[in-house]
Amino acid sequence: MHDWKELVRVRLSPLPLEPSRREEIIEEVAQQLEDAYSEALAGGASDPDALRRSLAQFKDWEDLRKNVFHAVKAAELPVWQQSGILSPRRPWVWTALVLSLALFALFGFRQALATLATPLGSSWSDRVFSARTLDSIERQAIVHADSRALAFVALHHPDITTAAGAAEKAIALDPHLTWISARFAQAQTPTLDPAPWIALLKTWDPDNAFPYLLEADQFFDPRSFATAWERRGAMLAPPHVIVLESDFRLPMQKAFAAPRFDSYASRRFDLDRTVLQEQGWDRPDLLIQAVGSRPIPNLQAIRAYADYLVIDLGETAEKAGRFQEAAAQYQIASQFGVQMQQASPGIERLIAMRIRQQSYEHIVALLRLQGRAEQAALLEPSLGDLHDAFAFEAREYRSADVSAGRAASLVLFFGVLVIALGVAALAWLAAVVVLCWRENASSLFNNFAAMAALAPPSLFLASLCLYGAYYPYTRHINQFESGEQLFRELLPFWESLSGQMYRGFWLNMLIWPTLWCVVVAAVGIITLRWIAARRQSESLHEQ
Amino acid sequence: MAPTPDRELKKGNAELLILALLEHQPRHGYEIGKLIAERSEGVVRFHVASLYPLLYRLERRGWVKGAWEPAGGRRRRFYRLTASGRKTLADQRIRWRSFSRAVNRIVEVRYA
Repeated sequence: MHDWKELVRVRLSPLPLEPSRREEIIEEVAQQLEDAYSEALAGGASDPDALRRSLAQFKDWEDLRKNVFHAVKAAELPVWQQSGILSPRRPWVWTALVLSLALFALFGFRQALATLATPLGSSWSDRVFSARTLDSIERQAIVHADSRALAFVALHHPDITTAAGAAEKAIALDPHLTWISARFAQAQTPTLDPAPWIALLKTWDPDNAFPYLLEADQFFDPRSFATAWERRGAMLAPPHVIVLESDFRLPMQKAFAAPRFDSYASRRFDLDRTVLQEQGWDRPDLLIQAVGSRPIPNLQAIRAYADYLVIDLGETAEKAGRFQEAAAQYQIASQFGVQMQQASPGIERLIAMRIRQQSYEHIVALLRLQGRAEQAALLEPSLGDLHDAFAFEAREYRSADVSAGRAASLVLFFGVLVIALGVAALAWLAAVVVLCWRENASSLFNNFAAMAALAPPSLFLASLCLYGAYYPYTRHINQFESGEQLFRELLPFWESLSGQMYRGFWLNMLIWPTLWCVVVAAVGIITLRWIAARRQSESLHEQ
Repeated sequence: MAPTPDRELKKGNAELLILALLEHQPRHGYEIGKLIAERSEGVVRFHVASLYPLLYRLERRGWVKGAWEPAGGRRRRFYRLTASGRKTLADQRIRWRSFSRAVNRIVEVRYA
């Protein structure tokens, strides 16, 4: 004989009803099983077959348990009494939550999340290097006479006057940091005169072309953005028109004649990386932003002056038969191109390569014109190499953009999922804890905890995906040896990321639709509950 | 082969079926399930897992009342209609007749 009641009791437990009512239900369901079993036996079935047929009446005991409780109590089964795969009684739900938290131990995951904390809809940089943060760094730096930290403040403080003050202190402590004056050469504010800073830089580093390029940029009035744009129209004019302005021509002459070119990119990279590490900001995006804000001379102006040397002076001299004078002009442009290419990353190097190409082409042509074909033939391979290198670098930038764009989209998508599911998992955790403490605290809590039980495992999966999508870009900033390496490996990704933020990816594609769905779902749930409550009250009234 | 009744139709009229079966005499759960299958000639079959929660819901609403009574050498829980249940049955029956007549008028139309 089968113990039907025990069989049902085991399968329906726990059934949090009054003991007498629970026993009645168990007995009644047991009788159903027993009757079906007896009927099957009477029909000629074997004992195991009859038992199987009887039990087959209840395929899902968990469902029966929930339905019975709901029918008797007019409420959902308390979430802690549920035994479904997403019940908080299941260890794997908690395991998923713990594993999600454990992912924080991974540097790459923390870095991915920190990346997503980039303020929505704002400039990529402004809030990260906020005045408040930098003021705090400056105070500490003054106390500890930390010239590098002061220089960092000078380079990044949004208030140019405060930045200049920090620069003066940093240079006073360590004159080797005078190169930070370059920042103030392009100050776009009427409250600061760049001239003394450029003069200081020229005095400190007289053999460098860079301070003279910054001085030439003053012709374009960097203090007024609008005016700079308006005046940029002048750049479209032929070079010989621009060079009529001595404010532009004289510093450019010195720049192109200077024995070396150093835009201080390397010094700046070292300083930014060191201070960011000291401040505990081991994030490549911050390093990119820090290094990327360095002053770059007006590249159009450089091209214009190179054109002036090669086309206006060189070609004119060549046509007039003054070959030596023409060769000298081509040589000046070429020499400047070599120096600039060696010392510059990114787009500056491409411009330098263009200047070299242009001057080499003219030198080769001039040599042939002079009947010096052998010397021309010696130069031609270099010219071919320059063409190839230029094409390769330009192509590399484009291909990096495409793959980095895809990666950035994935990181953003999974990042938003992680944030949304993280919030849901926290709410689920709060509800579950409250319900553990007081089982009947709130039917709303109970329903929410049952519905949101999917959040912890989903959070774990989304976190894994975020980690995986971001993994190729996970780096400690001390892994980068130069700004060029940093930009080559990560800039396309970060530009895609920030570009998508700027294009409203966050707001238009994910955040607002999600919020709308939540609002619509909430309104729908409240309405349905109201209708259900009304119908129930009407039916009771009818009785 | 008899057509399988629409699930929603069955769900919506499950209460009516049970109340109707209890109209003239009290019955226990197993009997109710068997009678529904027999009288509908197998067209309507109640999943047992749905039957008992439905009985408990009707009981909670006060439309039926369950009581343990001796039967066949053991006690069984018999359900009988309450006054409220009778009134509900009458109302639901009227609605059902009205509905089925309306449906018949549409589907039984013959064109000359």
